[in-house]
Amino acid sequence: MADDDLEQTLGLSASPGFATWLAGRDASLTFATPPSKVFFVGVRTDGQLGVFERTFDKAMGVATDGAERVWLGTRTHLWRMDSVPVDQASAEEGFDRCYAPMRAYTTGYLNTHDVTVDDDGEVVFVATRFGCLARPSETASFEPVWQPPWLERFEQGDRCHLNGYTHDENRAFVTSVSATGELESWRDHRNGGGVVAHVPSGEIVATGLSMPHSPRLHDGELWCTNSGTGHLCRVDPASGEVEKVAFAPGFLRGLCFLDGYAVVGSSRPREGDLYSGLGLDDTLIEKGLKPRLGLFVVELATGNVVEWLFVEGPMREVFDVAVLPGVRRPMALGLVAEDIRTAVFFDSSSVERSDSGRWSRAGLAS
Amino acid sequence: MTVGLDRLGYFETVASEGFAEWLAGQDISLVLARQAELVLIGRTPAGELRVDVIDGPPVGALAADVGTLWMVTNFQVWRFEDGLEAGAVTDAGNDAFFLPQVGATVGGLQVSDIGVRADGSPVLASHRFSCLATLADGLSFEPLWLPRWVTALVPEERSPISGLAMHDGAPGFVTLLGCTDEPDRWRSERAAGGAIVDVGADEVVAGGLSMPFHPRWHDGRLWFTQAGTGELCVVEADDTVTVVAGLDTFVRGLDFVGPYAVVAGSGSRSVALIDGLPVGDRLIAADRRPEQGVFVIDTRTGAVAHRLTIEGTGREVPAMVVLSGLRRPTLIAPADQELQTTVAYDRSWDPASARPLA
Repeated sequence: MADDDLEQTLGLSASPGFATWLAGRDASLTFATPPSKVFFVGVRTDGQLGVFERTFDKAMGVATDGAERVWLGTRTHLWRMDSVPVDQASAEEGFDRCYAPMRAYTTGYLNTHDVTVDDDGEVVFVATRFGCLARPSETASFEPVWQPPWLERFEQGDRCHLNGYTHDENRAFVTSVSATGELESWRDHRNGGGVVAHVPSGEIVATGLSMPHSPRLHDGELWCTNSGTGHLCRVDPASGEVEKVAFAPGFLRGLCFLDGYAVVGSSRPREGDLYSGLGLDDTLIEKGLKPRLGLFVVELATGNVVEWLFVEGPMREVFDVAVLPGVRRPMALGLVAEDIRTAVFFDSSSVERSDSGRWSRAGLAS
Repeated sequence: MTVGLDRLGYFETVASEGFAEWLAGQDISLVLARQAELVLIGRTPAGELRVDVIDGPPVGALAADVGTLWMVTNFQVWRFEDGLEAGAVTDAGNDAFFLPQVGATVGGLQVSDIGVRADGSPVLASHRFSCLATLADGLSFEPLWLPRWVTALVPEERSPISGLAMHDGAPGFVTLLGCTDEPDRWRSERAAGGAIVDVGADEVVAGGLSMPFHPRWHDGRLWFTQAGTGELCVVEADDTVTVVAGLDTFVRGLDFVGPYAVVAGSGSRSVALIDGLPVGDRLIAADRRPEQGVFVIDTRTGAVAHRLTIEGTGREVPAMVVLSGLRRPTLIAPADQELQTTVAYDRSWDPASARPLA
């Protein structure tokens, strides 16, 4: 697995206090950097940051189901990565969780964005190419479950760039780059045309956003990133007020919460691309800053950026970040290295052999 | 997806006269697994034979049900579903379009055969672990059964399971390449160390077999191939084994349509596959190579009614399955780039009828 354990070879840099901050949280992080990588960030036994990386084609939305599962949206599949036993050598190195891609749902190209999983393990994801929320299906590429009312028909084609979904026990919301219904019309509304809308009513609860992403309900409050201005925002769905809680130098997208902190992903716009030409460009020039690729940790009480992790190299995007609670140092198997084809995870105590030699499920009389 | 001839080597199929008409008469098509290719044998609407070759991962086991195809690759179990509506035909003339819908990672389980239980869940026969298994969340597999003389669930090929016959929706019988409790011992005893075991009774039904594979319960009797002798066999009521037909090839993969048994024959680049086995001795003595392809045996007479031989680079054919009611199916292999342009969904979905969320 050393070939993918890139902490030495990949250009990663973190704020001096990042590892200490993460170690104090009793959690690890996982984040996706399309077009090809998923990172797992933990703390090594020597207290240094431990970063593990695997290749998945167009890794996008990441949802964690406690520490047991990681759901990952990719170009053509939705992967369920299960926590599998850590091999002896890795355990001795300090790895305490290993995630392996154990189930694949073929989606075809839906331009899957946010992926969510609820307390019952049920998955809902955003099929941006169809402008709908969807569930994984065992008989089709996806099962459509909800579409915003500004789309007149259910059909293939990105119209409003529906990209984010969040829910808690009481409420659910989406983010969309526009609330328009013409094919690819969202491209003309990137600057200020973005909305947060309530699900299932479709009622728009916040407007005037620039490419909003990553809506998240946390402790009863609604958050999102206003990616086009580089802000982490708190949204009051009753009044429509959008409060800018923090600014960080990047196209902010990908959001999770850990104790009293928000961890927010940051991408690098490039002149002429879909993330450029927005308010963020001017702010960066004004402040004399360059956009960063990586993660920013924001203290919610103050709105201050207190820690950061930057990824150097050719990658330009972070799509999502999620918390792995109770995990100190995660690792993962991917699809490229040979180990996924040779490793076998099984519980030999689940069957037992009677005196007659007959094997049966453990606990059953033979 | 590549449709056409083997681009890596010489590949040509030769069918016996009337083979396409026979497929039409039975209303079937066939799927063969070669090492990293699937060979789909079907017909045009006009009745001409068509052999399509699709590149994919190595496939070790196949099973089919109406509208569903199960495929075990070198590390995953995939359930394919036919994405076409009933009666629909693609522009390319395919009357079924199997898409890999759900995949489960089984890693190095080394699955030799797959059966489907009454509840639709798969049962896997493991060569490496000498066990029957099913899928389990968070694990590569959950063991279900081992032969009683195997004392531990370990990846040691102690009594490799080479095939599984389902019976009344549950595992009925397995074939074993050897009946030992020692790692890899079967290899030195493969000429006559194989057996068929009744899973429910946990008893050996027939022993002394030469690399038996792919038992199938058909028409009230248990059938299997004996690769080491090149034979199609049936187990009689008194547990004696009758040879129905003999071929000069390493026969694996067995399926039935009416009174016909369809088996796959494996070729080989070297004699290593068959050396030391009765069929190998026959071929070496006759200075012949084993034929690769599909053989249709009329079980009433034991005669080879039809054959489709694959000429060219020798490769193993570990699995073969009959697809009933389909003229010319096609599929997209797991992880194929073509999945990017293929989305199967309910076009009639009405957003107003949406299921409640949250």
